Amino acid sequence: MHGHGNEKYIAHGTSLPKKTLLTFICLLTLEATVVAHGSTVAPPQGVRFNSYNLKNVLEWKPGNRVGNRTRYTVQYAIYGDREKNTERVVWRSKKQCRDVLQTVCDLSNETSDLDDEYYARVKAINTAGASKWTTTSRFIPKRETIFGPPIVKVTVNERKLVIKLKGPMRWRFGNSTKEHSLAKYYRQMMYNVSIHNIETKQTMIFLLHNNSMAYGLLNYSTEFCVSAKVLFLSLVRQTRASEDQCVTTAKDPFFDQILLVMLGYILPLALTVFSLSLIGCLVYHYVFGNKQKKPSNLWVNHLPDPERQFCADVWLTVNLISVGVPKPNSEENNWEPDDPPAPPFPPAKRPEEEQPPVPRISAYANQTCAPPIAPPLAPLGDDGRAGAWRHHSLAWANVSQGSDYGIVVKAPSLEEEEEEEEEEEEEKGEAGPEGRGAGSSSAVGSGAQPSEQLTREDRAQWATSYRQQFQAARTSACQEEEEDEADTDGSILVDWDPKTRKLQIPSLCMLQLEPEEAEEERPECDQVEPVNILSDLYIRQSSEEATEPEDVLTNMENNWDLQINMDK
Amino acid sequence: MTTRGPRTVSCLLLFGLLASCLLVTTGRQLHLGNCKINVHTQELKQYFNEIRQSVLLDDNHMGLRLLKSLTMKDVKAVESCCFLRMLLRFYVERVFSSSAAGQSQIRRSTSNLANSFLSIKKDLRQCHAHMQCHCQEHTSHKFAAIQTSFEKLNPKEAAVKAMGELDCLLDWLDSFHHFRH
Repeated sequence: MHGHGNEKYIAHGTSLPKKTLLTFICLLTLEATVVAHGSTVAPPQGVRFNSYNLKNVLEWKPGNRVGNRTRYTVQYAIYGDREKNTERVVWRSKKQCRDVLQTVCDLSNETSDLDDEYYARVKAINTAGASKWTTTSRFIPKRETIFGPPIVKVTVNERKLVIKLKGPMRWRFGNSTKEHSLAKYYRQMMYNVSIHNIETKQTMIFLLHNNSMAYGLLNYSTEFCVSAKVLFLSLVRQTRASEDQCVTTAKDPFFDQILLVMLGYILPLALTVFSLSLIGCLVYHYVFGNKQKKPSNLWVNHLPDPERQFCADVWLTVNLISVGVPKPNSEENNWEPDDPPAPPFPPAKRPEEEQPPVPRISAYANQTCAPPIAPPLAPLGDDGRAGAWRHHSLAWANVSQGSDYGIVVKAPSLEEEEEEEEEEEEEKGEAGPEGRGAGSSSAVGSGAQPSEQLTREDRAQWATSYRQQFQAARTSACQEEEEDEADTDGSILVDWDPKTRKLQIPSLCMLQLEPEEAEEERPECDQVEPVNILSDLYIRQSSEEATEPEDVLTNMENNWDLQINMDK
Repeated sequence: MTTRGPRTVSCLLLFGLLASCLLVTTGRQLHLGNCKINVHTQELKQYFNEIRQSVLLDDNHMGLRLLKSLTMKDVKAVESCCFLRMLLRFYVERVFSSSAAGQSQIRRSTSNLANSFLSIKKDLRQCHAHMQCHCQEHTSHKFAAIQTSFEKLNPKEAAVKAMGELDCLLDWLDSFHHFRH
């Protein structure tokens, strides 16, 4: 139409100048091309019904090279609805979908009859004109609609799942106020319910004709996810499943109780007991655990052996026995026999200190257990120890004057002098000078030489002191012997050698081993010795000491079985 | 649950399978009045779905419909046997014979449909022999109208149209199934 107008305008404009004429010719050609293209507006593409729960929406896409201002018009037709006397179908316009910009058109109201089948067509209209109609294929709503998810309500009743299903509901078209389930239109419609157990990851599937079901009994505190969709056994239909609705079954009441007991009673109790025991442990360690330890530098490495010390005592005791001085003293009564033995005697200890490498037992054996024949030689021919002995005994003789520690080796010399004097007076025996010479040569005698120069009073004092010691040492010896040798009953023999002037009493070890030999030797000594010095000595001792109650000598007699010759 | 779970599931599945089988077997039987026949509608629908799309596109006569749902629903149950018998004969003798589909797939499906229709027709003939399939005049007129419409078109186009409307026939058959609701 416009084109015609332009042509008329050109025809009438001949009077215009040439310039304007050319311009209009150009415009004319432009318009002509536009008109020629207007009849070929690209029609909409992909026109189809999209039906969801019987909501039937026509959709299409714009054709090629169609501007944004393109408008669309929609028509629909019912299959078999023809005009009278013709076989052409009746196309009906959709008022709401005439000259619209959008590319969708809701035809739910127009296609609501489920027994009918429909067609629809769309054309594009723009300034250039209108396109051809694009028609859909035959649309059968009842057959082609997509079934949406049903409405699922899941409730938990203790250990049961109660599932209620509804729908899917038909799209509410037109002015209808009531919702209708699609089940109303599809008699064969069923529900496919799947119950997924989260714990065991198992899925149970149920086919339902009715709207509700109960599922149980289930485990406590277990999560289940329920989903449902529409199912047709005999029809091919597109269906959509509902979203998972997850529920958890009730908690186990017993478990709650157990938990309460555990957390409320047992756990606090255990904690309390543990903390109490911990505190107790700590307290105990605090009170008793800090024992003071002796520093390592205070530890004594060399402790004297008490058993070996005994032998030394015995040896000393032997020497003391020879110091019997018949002078009763008031101090004797004060002396308690139960007192512990006197401190270790110097002679016993000194050799140890000076010559530790020499074994003590062997040393004592030389002294104590030496055979009676060898005495004069033994001290002299002995090793340096004997020499040392001498010096010490000498030194001790001086020291002992002021103290109670007596020089045990001095006794023989004192006694011998007395005895010699007596002998000289009585018999004027030949043994005197010999004995004196021998005595001087002996180790013990030599040690006692300085004492010879002492006065008589001094000697008496010495005697008392010796006596004290003798008693002390003897008691200790007696005690120890009573303990150690209760079962050994043998007589202890004292051997007196007149030549050496030395009294030899075999040591305990010798007595134990050879009591018979010692006894045999004694007569020999008697035979060899014409003078019985010891008997006199003992007589004196016994005569004076016997008066004393519980005399030490009697004890000795009882304990040692001493045989005392009382004949003279 | 761990031991009971699978057993329950299998039991339920078995039960569901049995139920569905029961439904299918009951669904097979059609009650056309007093006449009871076994029809595999599911099978027929499958055959139809294979050719449906192409047949619908070939039908260009939108204004002409041979089988109208409303007309079919108006047929009384007593006369349904008779009506179905006439329709089946129509399809076997006029439609399937004249449909010269080029595609082998469509031809195969068409022949399957034809065979099924023949077997149903045989069952219906027995009912007819027992005087259970008789039609009144009203129903005969309906069928005559269908034939008239069919003859308006050329045989090939008419056959395509008739083929495309098989859906309507099968849905109508389905409505005679017995469902427990």
